[in-house]
Amino acid sequence: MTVALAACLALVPRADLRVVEFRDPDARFVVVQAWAKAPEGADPAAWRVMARCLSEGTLEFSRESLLSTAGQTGQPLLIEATDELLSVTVVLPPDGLAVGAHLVASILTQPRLNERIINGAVASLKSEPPGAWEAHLDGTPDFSKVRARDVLALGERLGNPAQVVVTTAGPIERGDGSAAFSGRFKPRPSPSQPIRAQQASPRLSRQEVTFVELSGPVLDPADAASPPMALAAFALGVGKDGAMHRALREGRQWSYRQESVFWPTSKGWRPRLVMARRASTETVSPEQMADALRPEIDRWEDGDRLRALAMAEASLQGRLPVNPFHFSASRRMSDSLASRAAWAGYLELTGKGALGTDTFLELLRQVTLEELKAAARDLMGAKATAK
Amino acid sequence: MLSSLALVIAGAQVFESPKLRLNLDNGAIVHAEQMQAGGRFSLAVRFRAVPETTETHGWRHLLEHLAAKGPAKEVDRLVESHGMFLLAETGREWTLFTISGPSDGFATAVEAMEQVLADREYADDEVRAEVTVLAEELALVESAQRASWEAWETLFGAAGLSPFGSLEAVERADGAALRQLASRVFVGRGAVATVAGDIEPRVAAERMKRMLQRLPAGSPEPLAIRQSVPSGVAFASTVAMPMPPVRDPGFLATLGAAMGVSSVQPGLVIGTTPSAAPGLLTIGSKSGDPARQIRKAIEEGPDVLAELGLRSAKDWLARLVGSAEGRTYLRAILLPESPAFDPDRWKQDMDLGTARSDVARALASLRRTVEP
Repeated sequence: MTVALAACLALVPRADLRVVEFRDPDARFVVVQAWAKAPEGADPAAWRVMARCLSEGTLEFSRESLLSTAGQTGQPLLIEATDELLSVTVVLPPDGLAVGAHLVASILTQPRLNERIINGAVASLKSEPPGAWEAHLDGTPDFSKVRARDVLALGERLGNPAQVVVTTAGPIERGDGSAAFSGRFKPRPSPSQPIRAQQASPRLSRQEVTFVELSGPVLDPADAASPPMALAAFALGVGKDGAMHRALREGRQWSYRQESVFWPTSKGWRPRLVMARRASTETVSPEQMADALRPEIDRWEDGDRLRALAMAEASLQGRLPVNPFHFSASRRMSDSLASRAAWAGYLELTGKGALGTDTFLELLRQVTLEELKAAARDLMGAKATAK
Repeated sequence: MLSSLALVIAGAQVFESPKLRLNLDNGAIVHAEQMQAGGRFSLAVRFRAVPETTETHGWRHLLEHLAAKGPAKEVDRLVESHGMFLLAETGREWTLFTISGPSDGFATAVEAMEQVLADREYADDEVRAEVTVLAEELALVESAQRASWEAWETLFGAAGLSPFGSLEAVERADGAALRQLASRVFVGRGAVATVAGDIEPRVAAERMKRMLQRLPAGSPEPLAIRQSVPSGVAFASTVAMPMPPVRDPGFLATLGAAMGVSSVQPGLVIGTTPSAAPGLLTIGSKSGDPARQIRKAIEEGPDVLAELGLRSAKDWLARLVGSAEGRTYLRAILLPESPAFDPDRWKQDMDLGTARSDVARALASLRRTVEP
């Protein structure tokens, strides 16, 4: 199934590969990208280890040739994973679409997985704890209990066309992306090993920083409650005139960094209001954070709604340094071709492919001040975490 | 080709569409450039750093935090209501404020910058509150960044003090001291206002001129001179390589070597700041042992790394010079020390002057640095 983005329509899920085509005639590169969902119940730690192994080569490409071929434009092969998702991105010269499709398909369907590579990936992941902020967003799991056979079991399920969306973007013609992937994702043999049930693996935490968080339901454009909730997240935590910055940093000096984040889950973006705070200071609970924000919400006027809309528009254009839309803990939405491809591919994977940035912005513009305040108050009573 | 910028003399102006540069009587430089930027612009206003001592280390950083809010703390509301965002940054050689956004917001952006620069009182309780925020900021600084600061201070002494500062020193600051510091920082000498994007250069330059010409010239306050480090040094938590001045072809080769290594070792963290003076490129590691990771990467094949690194460095260069944000950043930090600096010529020189063999030599130097 092929989706040309200009005419992006809601899709009926099918078992064959979904290809999103994104034409930008002025682009200097082509982007070939794949998004994949983790199998239901997969152990997040094993899933991330498998993702790390994917850059070690495939049955067709050695590690060296994979990195060298994917790195032709100077933008290296990018493979990222969260608990539920995985993305592979290659950026190649304009005539590189077929090569890119070959690389991406090979990475997903013929990964070179063996005990040596898996053990190496575990060792490197254990030795590279992410930064405190990224670790909180990502919930970095403990990799010490990952077993090679669990990673192999996930590798056997990777590349199942029903769980994958590929995006091709750049100076391409309609149908080019579909043609480039034609026959590349074949049905895979039945897995030989069961996947291990999701582990209640401990999450690593940093001692010097604590986090306080309120999070809302996954955004669903078909749900009337979602646009007000999304705009509320902008009004609360995007920009230095947002309520979080004003109340938590300027008003109380509780924190240097406090932001709204739209976190990518397998079902769509989840709004999260996150505040980082020194561990050595007095603990702040999520309820205290909500209590500090409520008076700000009560004071909102139409100027606050308009500021939030302006921040939303800049974010949806990929032009905001503090863009809340995340594709991973370390990657926010930007105006790059790869980022625009990621928006389309990710939403297609989550079943919300019809949601173009213009459509989404139009939904936000229709939110009234009272709807905005009500949604923000709902977020204050949302699921809270502190760690 | 003779750059129009090279013809500029103090007090005069040379206009060669689509760029305009003004040298103001107080020493400030104004530069406006029209370029296709999708209906957007990037504005940067830069001020020189004044020397810091152990007693005042971090006061400039504290001033940057406070000044960015404006006297009535309305700067962010003003900017963000137009879909723009103010970034404030303290470097070893400068304090930098940037605003990017849709072109119809340019006048508002300058208005916001004027609020940032306004001469004003800093209340003691306001200062104390911001010191608490700085302590929160420090807690979030990653170990690789801290290791880089240590390397700079070890190798350059007083000329390499971290831009962040020390909490002990900022706790000694008060409102009067910060106002006095502001009067030394927000001056014409060493100041640059530069914009690039879909703007009309003459109108933009005149508007920025009005913003900066009211500032006093300020007294000379030279920073301690950094002498080039003769060779790389492997510290426990970071590897420091000598980084040539930005206009030296060795700049891109050194960056390419680091990018090549990091392309196969994703846990490495590269840190450097383009400068007209020699400095450092630091390679830290999330694992805390960058030397081991660099050795491992180089063992994979220096030829591949040199090629990957060269491509990555040239891609970085193309994206930097090709964007309004990159061009204003480069001009803001380099024009005072390199009056003839032109991003396009710089890119051309770097592209032509940096070959894979140069990156390979930089990799060999890096390899020697990390040998056990």
